[in-house]
Parts: sequence; structure tokens; C-alpha cells
Amino acid sequence: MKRGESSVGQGEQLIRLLLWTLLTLYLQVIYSASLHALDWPQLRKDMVNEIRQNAIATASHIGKSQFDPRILDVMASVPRHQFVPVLRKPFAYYNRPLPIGYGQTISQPYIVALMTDLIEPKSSDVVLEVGTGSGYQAAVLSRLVKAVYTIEIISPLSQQANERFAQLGYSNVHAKVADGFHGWEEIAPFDSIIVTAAGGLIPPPLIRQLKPGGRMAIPVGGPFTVQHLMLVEKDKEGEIVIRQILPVRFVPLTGVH
Amino acid sequence: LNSNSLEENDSPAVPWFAIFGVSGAALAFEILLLRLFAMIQWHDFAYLVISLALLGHGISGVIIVVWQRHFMKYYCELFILNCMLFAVTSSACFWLAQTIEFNTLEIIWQRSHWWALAKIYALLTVPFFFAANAIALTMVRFKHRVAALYACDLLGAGIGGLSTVVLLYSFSPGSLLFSLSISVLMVCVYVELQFSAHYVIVHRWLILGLLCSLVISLVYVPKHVSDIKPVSFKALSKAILLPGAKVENQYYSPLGVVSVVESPVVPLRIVPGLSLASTASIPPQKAIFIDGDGPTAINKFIRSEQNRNTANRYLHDLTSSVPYYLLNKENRKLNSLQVGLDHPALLQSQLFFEDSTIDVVEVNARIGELLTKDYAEYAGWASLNNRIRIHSEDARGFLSSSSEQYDMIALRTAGSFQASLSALKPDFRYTVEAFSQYFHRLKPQGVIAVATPIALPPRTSLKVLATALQMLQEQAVADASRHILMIRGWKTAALIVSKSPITDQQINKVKIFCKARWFDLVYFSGVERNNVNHFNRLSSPDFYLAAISLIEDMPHFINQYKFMIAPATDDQPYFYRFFKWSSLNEFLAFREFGGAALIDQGYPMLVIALALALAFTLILIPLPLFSQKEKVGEVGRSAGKNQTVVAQEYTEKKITRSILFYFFLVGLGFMFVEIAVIQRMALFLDHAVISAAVIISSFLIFAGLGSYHCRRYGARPAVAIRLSITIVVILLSIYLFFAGSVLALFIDRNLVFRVLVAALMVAPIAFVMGMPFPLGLSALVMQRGYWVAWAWGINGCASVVSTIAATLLAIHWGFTVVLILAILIYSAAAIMFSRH
Repeated sequence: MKRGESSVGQGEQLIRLLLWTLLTLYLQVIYSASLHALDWPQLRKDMVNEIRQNAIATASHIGKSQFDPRILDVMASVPRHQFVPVLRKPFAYYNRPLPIGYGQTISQPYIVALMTDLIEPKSSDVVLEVGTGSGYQAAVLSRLVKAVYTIEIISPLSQQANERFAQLGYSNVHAKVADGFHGWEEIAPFDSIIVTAAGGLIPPPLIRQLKPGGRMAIPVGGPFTVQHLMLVEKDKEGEIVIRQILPVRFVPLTGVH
Repeated sequence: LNSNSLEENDSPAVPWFAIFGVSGAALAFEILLLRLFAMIQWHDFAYLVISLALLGHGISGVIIVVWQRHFMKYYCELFILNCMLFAVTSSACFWLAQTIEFNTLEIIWQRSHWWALAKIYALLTVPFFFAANAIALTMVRFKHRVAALYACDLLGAGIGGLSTVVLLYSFSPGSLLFSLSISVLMVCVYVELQFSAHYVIVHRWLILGLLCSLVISLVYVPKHVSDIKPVSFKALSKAILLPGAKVENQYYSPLGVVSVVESPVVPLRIVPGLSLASTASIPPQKAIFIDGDGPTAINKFIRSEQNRNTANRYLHDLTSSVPYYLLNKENRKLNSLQVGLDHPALLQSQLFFEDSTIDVVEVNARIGELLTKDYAEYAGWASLNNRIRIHSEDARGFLSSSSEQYDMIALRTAGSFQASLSALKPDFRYTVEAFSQYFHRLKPQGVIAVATPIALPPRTSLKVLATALQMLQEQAVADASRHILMIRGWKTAALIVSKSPITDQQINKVKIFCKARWFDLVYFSGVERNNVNHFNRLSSPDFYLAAISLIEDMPHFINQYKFMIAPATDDQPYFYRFFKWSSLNEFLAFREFGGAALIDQGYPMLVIALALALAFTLILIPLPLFSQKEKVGEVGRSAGKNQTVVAQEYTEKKITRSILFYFFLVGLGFMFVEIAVIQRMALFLDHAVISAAVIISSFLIFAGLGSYHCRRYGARPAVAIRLSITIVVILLSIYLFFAGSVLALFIDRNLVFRVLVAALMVAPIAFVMGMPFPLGLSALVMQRGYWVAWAWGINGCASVVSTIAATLLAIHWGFTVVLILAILIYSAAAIMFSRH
């Protein structure tokens, strides 16, 4: 090949690269502009209203007709769209789970509200979360309790969540990359624990790290479908009571009794 | 240009070898896609994708019939071009399909996934379209040899399918897909040499194109095609995200790709059913995944006996330990049968009984070899092998061939997440007949122990209970409720079915066992409401109430319950189907607050696939009629549309309708029989995959021979059609009544022998079933040669519709009904042909 031909080829490649870059930038600008056009506060408000309606609809199963208003107020202020991948932002306030990469999801808002409500958070509480994921659950908790300690085994997820906490000012959230099985021994005991990555096992060390009178909530099911929630309560004497709660207003039995 | 004159004069040789090769490659491609999508997504999805992608055959037939006059001018070029495009697109379309972001689990939440699914369907239809084009063009071009061509097509498909299944034992599906593309390109080279003197367009461009494709494939395709990217929500994809975790070994087999994962930093803790009260540590483990699903564990062997006992102490704290508390330990001996290899469960029985002998039946030989060969040292096989015998066969077949009596027969159902994606998978281990077989092989004090992961609201555990109760009822066991005991933990349940009535002493032992481990009693004879729902509290004691209802009035409760919990039978072995249409609206209404978890996707997806297949069929099949109508209209106009023309039009319409129905019914009947026989033989041949390989290949090969044989009746096809369909109907009726007894005679023989029996049973039916289609084509060639491609397309569409419909019918009414329908369909085809 002659030198001239080679430089022509390189030139073409450069022009092609430039065109692609411009096209990508253009699409990004269009997409960002469309995102900016979205009224996030209003979307949050709509989402909270939907959760409120869901709570009424499922009152008989969750044992109450409304969630703690403080939780809903917090959810109306936490920018959920900052916790989902860019392409999923338009769906951030839909009442549905969303994939966040690494085979993980950000829980649907109704389940976040229900889980948070189950542990009955108080402003003096220190809460442990196992499975940081996007960081959204920790962000919601951080506005309701004194401190949140959150553990994630997948390093990139933890890193992304940490950046979000710093950027959005959730200074009382402490995150680390570790095996959640062992809990956070240095800080234990906790007033409440939320385990969002239980798999097939609820780690016994977590039950030990729960304060007497404390509560632990665990969603059970597939990645996009929470089948039921487990609430582990440790009474003042250290006795354990486990409740299995269906998030759905569903009566399976219509039989002979 | 008259196509008949083309055939007779200046004709290229019939490309027998290419037809044989392309047909074989098309079926191989279908099998590979099934395997690949089972690895990338899940079984039910793979099944549905393939069923619809085969519509490519229908589209091909329709396009060729419309433009056949033009196509025939360039037959040689088009044939080779279609073969080349099949070769290239089979790899390329799979690669492209992988780049589409699609998640089966998200389909219920986001509409864009339906669009992604449509794109995958469309992409995978392309290679089948080109393969079908090559075959249909040849049939039209050499229509006087249509029967022999069809025979060649079937034989090629049969041998191609069988070879692929054999190759899957040694090679990855990804690498085989690439090899398939290269093989078809080689066939193209051969065809190019054969056709080079008959091109209308300059052929060197074809040679050039062919070589370019080869080069591009060789240089660029391998690294993309062989790279399988399972969705990130598969269990294996998640496991290897753990720090330092990696797939240590991978073993290929048509029964599934077995992956062994090691996680050196974060210990794997595979302990289904572990009590929340357990404080025991868990020994080091390696995880086993099949097609990326699972996992099950291999525990590390601890040499020191004292340390070993400490390491295995957790095995006391599982729901699956409950049978050991029921069994009589006085003689310290245990003889048990474990269905499916579960290494921790083997250790469990050794922990409870000093002297235990265990028969393990694991149909996938690769999994057994992990314990006995590849990981023998890690698992301490040397210390186990004198007590454990691993049999690579199905439990039902094994029990038929052995006379052993057992203290315990243990089995475990799939997890609720996995189960929700396996609704279309037949499983003969959990049918009423299977439970009867287990029950008969128990010693007088023996038990069947079934571990089931818990789904809420209860489903799997109730279906197992209903199956056990049905079995006890059929065995005329007096007071069946005294033979049943059920407990549950937070995530698993255990059902015990005892040969003898369970004593009060045994019940007390179980009560103590449960209390110490925070497990709840669900059912035992004499259970009261205050005995249940203590530790894992539900707002109402649903498990207990359902168990009581099942025992008191099973048919009524099953009918009223919102999930399908009727026991599976050998005729309807779809154990993991829980979906009920009557509950769908309610589940969808609650989708956003938990209802989504209640919908098993496989079954509704099957219905959607059938609707789509029917819609496509209804659109595609009549298309050629419009082009034909224009021609008839022209004739009518030029003749002033007198009475003769009107009468001709009327007759033409009737004949067209008959052609349409005849070929549709023949296609429908063929697949109904094939699907029903595959499913029936799955029990006889140990596994659905082995059955599919043996039966499909046998059907295709013997039907191919039948098709080849019927060439001699080409001059009198009408008589031959009536005769062949009559024989099909007679043979199917014989099969319907006597196949069960014949299979029962040989079920205790080794697999090779059973494969031969299955092939021989299929041979006569397949041989005659191979005749109606080519005979119909021969009849068509005599009167309306231009409809040959249309008949091919109709048959293709019918095959797609019938594959899905047969599965749906089998789920609802069983395989027997599918076979009866096949008999009726063939009879209707004969009537349809006779009328015109």
C-alpha cells in the first residue's frame, strides 16, 4: 500500500470517528434535555401517592392501612432517579423494580416503603443494611435514623453507591465492601437490620447482632418479584419471633373451611 | 420460461448432498439454539423462541410460490445463495440476538422487552427462512422428484439432529454453532462445483462471495459466537461476581452444561432449609450449576473425624433432616435411595446412621463423575464409595430394574424461582405413578421424604402433598392421613410419606426436632390449629388449612384453589405448572404490590406463542391466493366471465381449500404424534432430552425412508394416500392401547436396548407417516405444480402451530388426548383428500 493511500484511509477513519462522537454527543444532549424536562418532584409525589393507595389496598395483609407518614415524606424527597442507571432514569419513579447491573435490582418503591415501615425506624436508631445495591434503601433510611451501616459484596456497586451518598449529602450512611454474612461486628448491636441480599440463608450472626427489641426485615423471592417479606423480631428477653408477610392482598384459600 | 422444460432440458443435477446437508444443519441449528438459550435465559424461553422461529419455513413457502417463475430462472444462483446465507446468518443472527437487551424476568414490568423479544424472534427466523428456501426451491425445480427430495430432507434432518446430540457430549454449543456455519459453507463449495455450468449470472461473483463469507467467518466470527453471555440474573452469573470466584471447570452434555464454581474469598454457603436457630458453621464448598442454574454443593472432605463431625453439624439443622428422626435407629443401618445427586444429603445420612448404604440415581452422568472422578479427592469419595452406588439413569427406570427395598427414598423439588421458569418441562419424578413406585419399594417402616422450597402463597409443597394423598388413595391405604407428616421452615418444607402409620412416639420426636430449630409443624394425624404456625408466623395458618382441606375434600379444594395444585400424572407430567386462568386477572391487578410473583411465565407465554403462530399462519397461508386470484380474474375478464369460467372458479376455490386443509392437517398430525411420543418416551428413555433426540431422529429417518419408498406410487398417489393414512390411523390406535404394556416389558433393560426398542416402536408409524405429505405433493405436481411451494409453506406453518398446541393440549388433557386428536386429524386429512 502506498503512503498516500494509507493517510487517506486514516483520514477517513478520523472523520468517521468524529462523526460518531458528534452523533453520540448529540444523542446525549437530546437525552439529557429530555430528562431535564421531567418534573422529578412531581413524579416523586405521584409515586408516594401510589404507595399510599397500595397500602390501603393491602391493609389486611400488612396489618395497617397506611405507612408511617415520615417514611412517605422521606421517599418524597429522596431523588430515586439518582440511584438508577442513566437509561433507566425515566422509569425511576414507576412502582416497579429496575435493574442496576451485576444481576441486582433497585427494589420497587412500594417494597422499600413496606420494608422500612416494618422495621419501625426511630431517629435514635442505628441500622444495618446487608446488600447496599444502588444505595436507595440506605438513603431513605438515613433520613429517618441516626446512622446507617451498609455492606455490599460487589465492589463496583458499593463504590457507585458511596459516590452517590457523598454527592447527595447522606453523611450518616457508612458503607463498606465485605461479606454481609458476618454483619458489622464493630458497630453491633443494631436497632434494626434490613437484609436485601439473603439468598438461601439468613446469616445467624445477624440475629445475634440485633438488639433485644430489634427488628430485621428480609425480602424473599426472585430478582424482580418479591414473594414475601420476613420480619424477625427479637423481644426484650432475646426470644425470636418470625413473621412471614405477603405484600399482596391475596387470599389463596377458598376451600372447604 | 416454463419450469417443466427447465427441469427436463439443460438441467443441473439434483443437489441431493446439499439438501441432505442443509436439512441436517437446520435441525442441528434448532437443537443448538435450544441449548444456547437454555444457558443464556431459561428452559421455557428457549422452547418458545425456537417454536416460533420455525415460522421461517412458512414464510419461505409463501414467498417462493408467489415469485417462483422468476426464481426458477436463477435456481442455481438462488440455491447456493440461500445456502450461503443460511450458513452466515445461523451464527450472525444468534450473535445479534445476544446483543439485544432482553430479560425474561422483566417482561411483566416493561413493554420494551416485548419489542426486544419480537426482534429476537425475527432474527432467529432468518436462518430457518434461508434453509427452507434452499429446500423449497429445489422441490419446485425438481418437482417430479419431490418424494425423493422430501425423503432426503427428512433423512438429513434425522442424521443431523442425532449427530448434534452426540457432539454436544464433547463440545460447547457455541463452538458447534460456529462449526455448523463452516460446514454449510463447505457444502456451498461442493454445490458451486456442481452448479458452475448452469449459472445464468456470472458465477465467479458467487465464488468470490462464498470465499469472502468463509474468510470473514473464520477470521471474525469465532470469538463472538463462542462467547455465550448468560443474563446477569442467572445464578451462575451472580456467583462469579463474588470476589475471586471463578468457573473452575465446565463440562458439556446435551442434558445441560455443568459448571463448577470455586469462591476462595467469600465462602459459598449452599444450605437450603437451614434453621434460623442454627449456630453451626458450614464447611468449605464448591458450587455446581447446570445451564447456569442452581446451585448444589460439593462439601470439602475433612480428614479428621472429630473435625468432620463438627463441620457437618449443620446437617442436623435442616428441614430435610426430619426423616432421620422418624426412622428406627436401633439397628444402626440405613438403606436409602436418593433421587438426584446431592452431596450434603449423602453426608447427612452418614451422620445419622453409622452403617448406611445409598443408591443415588442421577440421570446426568457428568454430575456423578464430579464426585467419583474430577472432585473425588475434594469430596472424599474414597471414604464414601464403599457405601454409595451412583447410577446414571432415571429413578423410575432404576426402580423397575432393581428389587431393592429401602428405608428411605429422598427427593427434592426445584426452587420456587426455578420452578416458575419450568412450567413447560415434563418431570416424571413427581407424578402419582412415580410416588406409587416409590411407595412399593419401601420397607415396612420406610418413608418417602420430599424436600420442597417454600413459595408463598403455598404451591409446590401443596402439590407434593396432593400427589402423595392421591397415591395413598389409589393404593387403598386405610386412613391415609396417618401416613403423612409435613413441616416447614422459613424457606423450605419437608413432606414425609410413611409406609406404616406414623406413631405418636415418632410425632413427639418431630415436635422436639421442630421446636429446637424454629420449624413449624404443618400436618400430622391429629394436628390441631394450636400446634401450627408458631415460629414462622403467617397471618393465617395457610399451610395447615390447605393440608386439612386436601385431606378432607381434595377435588373441591384443588378446584377452588387459586393455583394449579392437582397432582401431576405420567400422562400430564407438568409438575411445575401452577398457573390458572381464573386467577390471572387477580394477579395482574396486584402486579405492583406482589402479584407479579404469583404468575408463572412459561404457561401464559406458551399461549401467547400459539396466538402469534396462529396469527402468522392466518396471514401467511392465504397470501399466495391473492396472486392466484389476480390470474383467475384476468382469465375471467378475457372470457367475458361466462358460466364455464364461473364453474371453473368455483371448482378452483374448492380444490384450493382442500389443498390448504390437507397439507395443514398432515403437518398438524405429524407433529402431534411426534410431540406425544417424545413426551411418553421421556420416562422410558430416562430424560426428555434423550427422548427428544432418539424419537425425533427415528421419526425423521424412518419417515424419510417411507417418503423415499412412496416414489413408486407417484403415478397413483390418491390410492396410496388413502392407504397410508388408514395404516397410520390403525398403527396409532395400536400404539395408543398397547405401547404402555410394551414399554413396561423393557423398562428394566439398559439404555442402549431401550433406545433400540423405542426406535423400533417408532419405525412403522414413522415410515407410513412419511408418506402422506410427499404423496400429496406428487398429486399436486400432476395437477397444480405451482402450488408445491405453497404446500411446503402450509406444512411448515402447521408444524409450528402443532408443536405449541400439542404441548398446551398435553398440559391440559394429557398425551393420550393428543394422540387421539392426531388420529382424528389424519382421518380428517384423508376425508379432505378424498372429497376432491
